[in-house]
Amino acid sequence: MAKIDFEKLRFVVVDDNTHMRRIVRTLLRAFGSREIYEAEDGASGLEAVDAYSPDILIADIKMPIFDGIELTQMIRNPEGPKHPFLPIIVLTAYSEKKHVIQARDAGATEFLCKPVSASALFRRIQNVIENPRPVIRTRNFFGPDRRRYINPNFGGEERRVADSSSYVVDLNSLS
Amino acid sequence: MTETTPTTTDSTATCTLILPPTDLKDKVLIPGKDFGFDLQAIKRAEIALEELSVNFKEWIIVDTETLSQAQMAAEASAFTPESLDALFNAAHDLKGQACTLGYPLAGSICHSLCQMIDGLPDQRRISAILVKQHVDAVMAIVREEITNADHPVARAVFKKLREVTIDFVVQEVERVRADSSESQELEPVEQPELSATGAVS
Repeated sequence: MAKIDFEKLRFVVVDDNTHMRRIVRTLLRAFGSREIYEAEDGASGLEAVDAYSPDILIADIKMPIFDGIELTQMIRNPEGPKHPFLPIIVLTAYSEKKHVIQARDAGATEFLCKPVSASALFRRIQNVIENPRPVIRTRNFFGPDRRRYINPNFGGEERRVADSSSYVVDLNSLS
Repeated sequence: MTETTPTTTDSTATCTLILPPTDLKDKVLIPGKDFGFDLQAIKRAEIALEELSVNFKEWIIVDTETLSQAQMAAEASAFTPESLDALFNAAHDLKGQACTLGYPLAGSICHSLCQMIDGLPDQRRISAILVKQHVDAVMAIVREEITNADHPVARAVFKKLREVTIDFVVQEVERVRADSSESQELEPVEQPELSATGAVS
């Protein structure tokens, strides 16, 4: 079985609730991670991302100053930031579909509803590492591919294959 | 992960698919026969959470106090948007962690409170009594240390609160709809003009 070397993983956890940050930190430390940085609002979360260059960001939605959706949008802005491909796990007490869609459209990689459990958090982390999704760039979206599977019944315009050979950009093959 | 500026080679393309760097995978994945679930890591985390749970009673008391204070402040200020936002935040925080802290029904009641605040078309018409009943129920559950989600009395209180809340929100939504359709049927009323000082002329 392939294992994750958590000791090499650096996290930033952004949540305005001290207790929730402590719970997440406890879980991450037990997984084996030693580098966990915390922030209590969207603004300091963005600063922490810039300062520590984490491998994974775990962010709440409902936070002061700016929320987790805005934080995600700022990180995904392809014009500005240094971390456009940073895996972002949104961890929130919002469970309604509209919030899942909102997070997805902002560019979140994974969505996890509170209450958080060890296995659910582990699965999300494992998934962003083992199965990184392609990133889609359109005029109004930059982020992980929002389609997780091919819908055989899709009847709309297929925008992804009609353009040109430059449709796919493999950053691993660029020098 | 490598800090790479995303690039596209075709500005006319409506959609570009970028295969992101795989250096995170290379960095932290220890190869094995196949991918799976690291049960030992999860077990360690569950034990760590169990050890942390000695603090949970104290934490939930702090959070319910915050909720109670937010409710009192909101009621005292006649439910201004700011005070309702603070109340929503307190309820939302508890909704997210009450289950982890061992009080699942407190979380469910907070969920109901959040839905009421969020679901009302006009938050100024929020029911102060219903808000207080939610908060009192949460306080009682914590005070009586009701950690069992099947506790008959607490469950009955939650179900009733939820039922009444849904009825209330539905009535409010219907009332706004009815008002809206009535106003569309009436002749348009000329809007009063505001003077430079903001007074109605």
